Amino acid sequence: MAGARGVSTIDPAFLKSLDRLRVRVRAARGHRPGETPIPRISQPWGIEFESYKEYAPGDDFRYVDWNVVGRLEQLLVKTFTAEREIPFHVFLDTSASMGAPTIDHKFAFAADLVAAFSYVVLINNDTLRVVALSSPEKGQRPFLALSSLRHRSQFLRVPPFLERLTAAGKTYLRESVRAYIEQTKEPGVAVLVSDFLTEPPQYEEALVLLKARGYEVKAVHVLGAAELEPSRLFRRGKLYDVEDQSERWISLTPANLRRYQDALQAHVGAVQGFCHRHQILYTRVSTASSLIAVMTEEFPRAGLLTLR
Amino acid sequence: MGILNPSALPFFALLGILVLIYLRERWRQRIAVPTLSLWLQVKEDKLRVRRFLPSLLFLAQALLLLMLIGGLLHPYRPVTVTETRGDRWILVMDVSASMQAREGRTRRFEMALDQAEQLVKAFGPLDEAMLISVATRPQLVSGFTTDHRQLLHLLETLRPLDAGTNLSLGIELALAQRDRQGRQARVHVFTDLPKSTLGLPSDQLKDLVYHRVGKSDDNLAIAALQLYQNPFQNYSQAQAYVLVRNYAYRPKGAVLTVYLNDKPIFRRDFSLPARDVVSFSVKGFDGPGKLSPPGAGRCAGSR
Repeated sequence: MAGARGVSTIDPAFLKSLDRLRVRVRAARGHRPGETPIPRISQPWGIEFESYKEYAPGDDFRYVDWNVVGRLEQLLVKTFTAEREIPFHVFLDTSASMGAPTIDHKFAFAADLVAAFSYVVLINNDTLRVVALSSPEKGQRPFLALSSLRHRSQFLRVPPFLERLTAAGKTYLRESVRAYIEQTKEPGVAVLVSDFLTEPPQYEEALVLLKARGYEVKAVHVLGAAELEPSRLFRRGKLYDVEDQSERWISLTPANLRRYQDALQAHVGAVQGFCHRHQILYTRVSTASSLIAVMTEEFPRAGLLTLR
Repeated sequence: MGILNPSALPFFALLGILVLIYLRERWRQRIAVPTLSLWLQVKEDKLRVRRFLPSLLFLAQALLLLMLIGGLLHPYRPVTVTETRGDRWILVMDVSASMQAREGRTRRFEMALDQAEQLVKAFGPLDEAMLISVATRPQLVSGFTTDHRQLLHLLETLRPLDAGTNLSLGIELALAQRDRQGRQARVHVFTDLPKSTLGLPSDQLKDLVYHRVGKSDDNLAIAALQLYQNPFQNYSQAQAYVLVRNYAYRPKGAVLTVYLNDKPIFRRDFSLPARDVVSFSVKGFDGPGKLSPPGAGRCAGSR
């Protein structure tokens, strides 16, 4: 059972480097006015000019472009890129597989990612819910959610919540996500942070459920360094599955290593392919990377974050 | 190679136990992985994984265990002895005052000691040796013994005395011991005296192995120091006599200095014919005190 011990290591200097970022939103909608620009949706007021539209009764005269009227003798009013307050739902997989292998500190890394991501959401004045996808084995509800957070100052509630979490039990992505969205009325952006090491129907149905409910879904696939290179972990030994406790005696010969890496690539490819087919933004990160590199380089490159 | 303590042999079973402990640890140790589904395509290899592979820590522990058991076994290297009896040796060491004379940086006695030790170290394991030291009279330091280490130790404890020598007496004692128990011993003599001065019959001398140390026969010594002072005399009336003898076969010159309370009160330059003796009278002491026995380097020296 691994705890999210890395959360407390987020220091102010690191948070400051996140101040210039915001989450890139493509399809999510919000009802309340906010600061997150929504592409392809215009509104009659705002900051970022988008287009013109023909004047209609009720439009604000202040936004009539009189220069255009003078040239074209046509009443046109400016429209602006819509800016909304987007509800963000950040899901963290807390199954036992996130805590193994221990040397990777995968769960702590994922919790740090969630914390950093939450900070970016809150500084942009969007609403945030952090949801830990739990399992019945822990004797808890299918999910543990932090109540809706709305302001930068409420970020301080995120690290204590994450620190209480432990990686244990089997993965129930489907059941947990279903239970959550049944209780949530307002969809928005759903970010699922997981290792996706479960049966394909589990993660596929979880992602499809979110899509079907109108969420803009983003998948963050966390892989441990020892998962990518198991020779860091062992040469020969008895492996056991932390979720179902099954065992297997493995000798890590070059041929076996190749077979494992093929299987890993197939798994990663399957998750990525599924996300691609369903227009889900997919990002893969390794625990070998530093958190700041992931947030400021890898996520912007993948299109998950962008500069403000 | 043999062992003196075979009862320690069962301790070798501890090595097996050590291997079993390592195997048990290997079999018990489990490596946590997030899922086995990625390893299903890898063939399970229970035999190879369970096979014992020594680690560096295991090798260090096994080595330590082997050393401990080896120590308990008391191993020894057997030496094949083809003879039942060894040779016999008699060492006669001259420990008279003349052996204190310097030859370069070392003394004659140390030179003789070195030769005697070389001889003892070359003894066979069953060889027996006797040690006799001789000054004014012979002294049996050790009877016949095969303990050569002890013999070397006894040689180291010998010191030259401030006394004359009666080497003939020591050699006669050695020759008397030579033929005991029907086994003839070889007599080695370590001295600075020439063979010709011994005064022994030539048939006795020819059986000796003579190790003469010193390049010269320089041997000028204070043979006696006597103080005369009756109960009714005070220190100024006391009189001391120093007898100096030249044992060499050529004339020698020297300076005699006598000290009273470490203060020189008498100094005399003299020369002495071969094998001659001279007496010096010292009187007129200017106070009570300790008349230092004049040592070779202090009261008399070669000139």
